[in-house]
Formats: sequence, C-alpha cells, structure tokens
Amino acid sequence: MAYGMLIDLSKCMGCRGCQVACKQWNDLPGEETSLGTDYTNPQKRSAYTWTTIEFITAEVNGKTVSTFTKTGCLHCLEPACESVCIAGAIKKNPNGAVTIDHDKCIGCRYCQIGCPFGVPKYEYDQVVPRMRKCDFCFDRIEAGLEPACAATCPADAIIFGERDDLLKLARERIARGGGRYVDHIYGEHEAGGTSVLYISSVPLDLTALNTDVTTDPVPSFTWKAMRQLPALVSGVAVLSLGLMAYSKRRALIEAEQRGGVAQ
Amino acid sequence: MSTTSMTSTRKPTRLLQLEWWRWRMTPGKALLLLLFGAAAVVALVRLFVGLGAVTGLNDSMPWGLWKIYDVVVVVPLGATGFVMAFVRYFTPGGERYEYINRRAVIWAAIMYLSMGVRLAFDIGIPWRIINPIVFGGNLHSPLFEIAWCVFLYLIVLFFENISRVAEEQKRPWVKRADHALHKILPGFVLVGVLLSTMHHSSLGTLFMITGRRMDPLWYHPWLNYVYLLSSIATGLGMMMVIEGFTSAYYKIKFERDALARLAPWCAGFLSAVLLWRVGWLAADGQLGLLFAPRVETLLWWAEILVGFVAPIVILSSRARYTRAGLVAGGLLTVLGMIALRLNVGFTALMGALGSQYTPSVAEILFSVGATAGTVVIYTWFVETLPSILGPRVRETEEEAEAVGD
Repeated sequence: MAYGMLIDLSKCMGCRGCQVACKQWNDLPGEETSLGTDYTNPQKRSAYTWTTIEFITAEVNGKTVSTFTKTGCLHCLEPACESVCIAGAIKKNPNGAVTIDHDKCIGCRYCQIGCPFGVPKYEYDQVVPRMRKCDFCFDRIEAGLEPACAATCPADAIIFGERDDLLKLARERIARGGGRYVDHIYGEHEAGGTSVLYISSVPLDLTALNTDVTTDPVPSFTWKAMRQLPALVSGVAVLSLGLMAYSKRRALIEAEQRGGVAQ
Repeated sequence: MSTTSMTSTRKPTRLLQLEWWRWRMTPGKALLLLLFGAAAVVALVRLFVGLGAVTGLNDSMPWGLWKIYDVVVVVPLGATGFVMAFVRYFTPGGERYEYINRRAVIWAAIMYLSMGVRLAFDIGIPWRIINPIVFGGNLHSPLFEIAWCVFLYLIVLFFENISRVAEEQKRPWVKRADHALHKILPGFVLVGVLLSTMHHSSLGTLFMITGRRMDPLWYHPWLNYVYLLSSIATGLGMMMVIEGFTSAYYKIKFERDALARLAPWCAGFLSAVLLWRVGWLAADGQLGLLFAPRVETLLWWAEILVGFVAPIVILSSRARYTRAGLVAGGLLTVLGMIALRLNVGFTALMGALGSQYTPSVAEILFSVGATAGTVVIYTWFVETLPSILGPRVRETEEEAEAVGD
C-alpha cells in the first residue's frame, strides 16, 4: 500500500497547525527564530523543523494575492537521497515513506547534494549529528493513523490516502473546480513522481514549490554513468592486456634484432 | 671494538633490517611539520566540538573544502600511481620508468591514505568511516563504489610498494617472496588500473546527481569521463612536478627524456577534455555564456587558459625537452585539474543550491596542513627507503656507515 498526501493549497489558511503537530509528534525542539519580510517562521527548514508554511505575497493583475505552501519532504517514488546514500541508510518503504536509519548513516551528506528539493537537514550543531527529515510519520502510518500534519489540519487541506486514489481525487477537484485550480498536479511527474502531491488555485510559480525541477527520476542521472562501469572496466582491461602483449612482443623483436646486429 | 659488539647484540632483535631513522629534519620540513601539527590540532578539536563548530558548513552547503578539496582533488593528485604503473608495466619500453614509477606509487599510497584519514574527519561520525566496507552499503551510490575502489586500491598500492622494504632486507625468504611478487605484480597493476578507472570516473559521477541544476558552464552529460581523462592527465602532470621536486631536493638526475615522452600524452588528454567540454557547450547552445558578464565567466576562462590551454601549448611544444618546461607544464596541468574540481564543487554548485558558505580558518588550516603533511611523509619514505630514488650500491654504503660508527 503506497500511501501519499494530497495538499490542496487552495484550502490552506496558513494556520501552521501542521508545523506545530509535526514538532509535537516528532519531539523536535523549538528553535530561536527571527521574522523575515513575510510571515514564514522559522524562515528555513532545519534538522529540527521538518515542515513549514511558506507565505508568499504577490501582485497579480493588480490584486494582492497571498499564498501559503506547506513545505517538506515529498517522498519521491524514486528518491535521489536513497540512491546516493553510501551506507544504504535511506529507504523508500512500501508504505510510501522515505526514512533514514540513524544507526547506518555515516554523515557523508551526499543526500543533501542529491535532493532536488533541499529536504534532508543535518544537525551541524551536534558533536554526533544525525540527518533529519520528515519520515511521513512512519510509525503512525504503520499503526493505522494519518501523519500528524494531515490529522491536525483544520481546513482539510492535507489529505492522506493511497496515492492512486489521491491522484483521482486531485483530477476530480481540478475538473469540477470550474477553472478554480491550475490544471497541474504537482508531484505526479516531478522528480519522476512523488508521494506528496499538490494542487493549487494560484500559478505554481507564486508558491514555494520548485517549478524548475526535472520530471526524470533523479537516480537515473548517476545511474547512466554507473551502469557503464562494467563495459568501461572490460574495455580498459582488454586495452591493457593487449598493450602488454604488444610491448612484450616488441621487446622480443628488438632483442633479436640487437642480437642480429651484434653477430 | 665496542661498535662490533653493539651491532652484534642489536641486529637479531630487529624485526625489519632497516636503518630506521635516516630521515633528517631541515628548516623547510620543520615548517611543513608545523602546518601538519596545526591540522592535527584542528582534527582533534573537531572530534570534540563537532563538524558545524569547526567548519563553515551548513544545510545550504553540505560539501565544503574537506570534501571538494581533500577528497575530490586529492584522489587525482594520487593518480600518478595508476598512470605510471600502467606506463611501466604495459607500454613498450616501460622499463625506463622503473624508478619514476617507484616515486609514483609511494606518492599515490600517501595521497590515498591521507585522503582516507581526511575524509574521516569530514564525515559527521568519523568512526563510521569504515562502515560501508564492513557492513556493506548501497550499490547504486557512486560514493559507495569509490569507497570500495579506494579500499581495494590501497591493498594494491601496498603490494606495489612493499618491494622497496624488501629491497632493504637480506633474509633469503624475503628475497624469494619479493621475487615471487615481481612475477605477479603486473596482475596487481592491472587490478589497480581497473579500480582507478572506476573511482576516478565515479568522482565525476558524484556531481551528476545534480543534473542540470549545475551551472551550464560546467554541466557536462558525461562528467564522469571528463574527470577520468583529467585524472589521467593529472597523473602525468603530477609526475613531472614530483620529479622536478625530487631531483632538485635529493640531487638525482631529472629524467627529462622519459618525461618528455609522456608530455604529448598529457597534452593529448588535456586537449580531449578541452575539446569535449567546449564541444558540449556549443552543442548545448551555451557558447554565449562564455562572454556573459558574470564572475563564473572569469573563473571558467581562468581555469581553461591557465589549466588547459597553457599546459597543452607547453607540453606539446619543444619546451617539453627542458626541465623548466616539463615542471611548468605539469604544474599547470595539476592546477587545471584543481580548478576544474573546485569550480564544479563550489562555483557551479553553490549557485544551484543557493549556498551561503565561507570556509573557516580552521577548515583551511586543516586542508593546507594535511597537504603539507603528505609532502613531509613523502620525504620520510624517500629517505627511509632509498631504493625509491634509484639503484643503491649497498656494500659501499654500509662500509662507510661502519667506519662512521
């Protein structure tokens, strides 16, 4: 059962209940924060803040539009972080959650380079740090509950369910919305498909969603090189052995010629 | 009289028949050791206060100097090992590179070991550095592939170097074992070459995970092969630098003719990289970016002109028959490799990730000090195992020592 979440940005009212629920359920410490130019607070996700509501205010056709975007791990169907992890500490679980095994993680931080959404965050302030990120409330899902953010959302903007059902629901909402929604399900194809999906009534570039992201599965970027290694190694082996045989033969002929001249 | 009695009591207790302390301190080495000590202090402090407190690293820039320089640059600095061993054992007339190869493989062993130690301090939990080897890991990860290749290559480097120790011994079984090793050494060399092909290309694969997020000036669809080719050129270029230093410092012959034969190959590999990179930029329709008013443009041109065009010109011209030409060409080749890797790791990536990163003083001190340390360790090996420099006339030397005693 591959679960997912559909986040209907048009229903989000920016209450940040999900942010608080996430902190509570995952027992994450509070952080000293400062206000920026908008109401996003904390301004960035961190090892201790796995989800935020990002506030964006913009002028569209002379009207002021405020948007709220729930940010966090999108739980890719083919996660870049999983594919680059040296220790095999990151796993895409059958229930849809991408989780990190802290006992395996050595702290190479390659997942932070690989993730196109900048999701994994490291405890740089710790002597023995861990890589932290949203784990889709793995334990809650296994116990038959919804993730804390989905359970707490008072506006039903975060809907938990099977990804296939959520895709259907998203299409339905877009079709019945009478032009209310942008005709795009973010996460259906982004990064090769993600478990967390978004629909929005404002153009996506007015949200905090990364609209530049590839639609190819990110692991394929390195795999196209990795899978050529057997051919590369075989080629170099044949070249080396061939050259060695040639060198030996040439040395032999040269020795014979030298012997001939001497006689 | 007393000397003979002393040597007779001392000799049987020695495990290795080595005159251990041949290494001599000089002011230059003292300065390098001081830097090395500073790096060791930084490393020790880092163990107790953590990565974030010592370095400028943060979530916006997860890979800093200790990864991009101390791993991605230092590994190809040790490319001398596989390139010269290939030349020595597989190419026609390779015998003339015997002593150059000895310097090449000891330098490579130092660089690889040093890289392993440095990497341990860069990863979040240093004592887990060996975990991916012991407990296994993820076959899809280029980093896992590099870890295994480096680990296995260190074993190969051990066998490529151990004859220098054996040559100092007189025991018959050591001689026999060394003789047997020499018979199978080409096998080790081949394995070393294959492992090197894999991990030098995988160092480029590392950055391919960012895809087109990377700055277009450095994005290349086959960055892995760009890195592999540049590491081969670096192996040859670094050898010219090492030979320049070693011959001047230890007053041995500079192998000008042997190195001059390699120079066109170095220029060839550099040209291939240059053509492929510029060719890709043209195919990608990004040639206009070469003249865009950006800082990146300056860095790209500096890298290409100083690190590629200049060494190609020097090493393919008649200048390669001079010592100055070879050393300069080699040095520029190495600088070009360093520039390429720093540009990919920092310039091309930081814009894409929106990074805020300035390496801390401690971070820089660690990288500089560790590099200084590798040079001192190289002198230690060269002075302790003199057959690295060339054939020895052992008898006369020992007689001289006995008289000195």
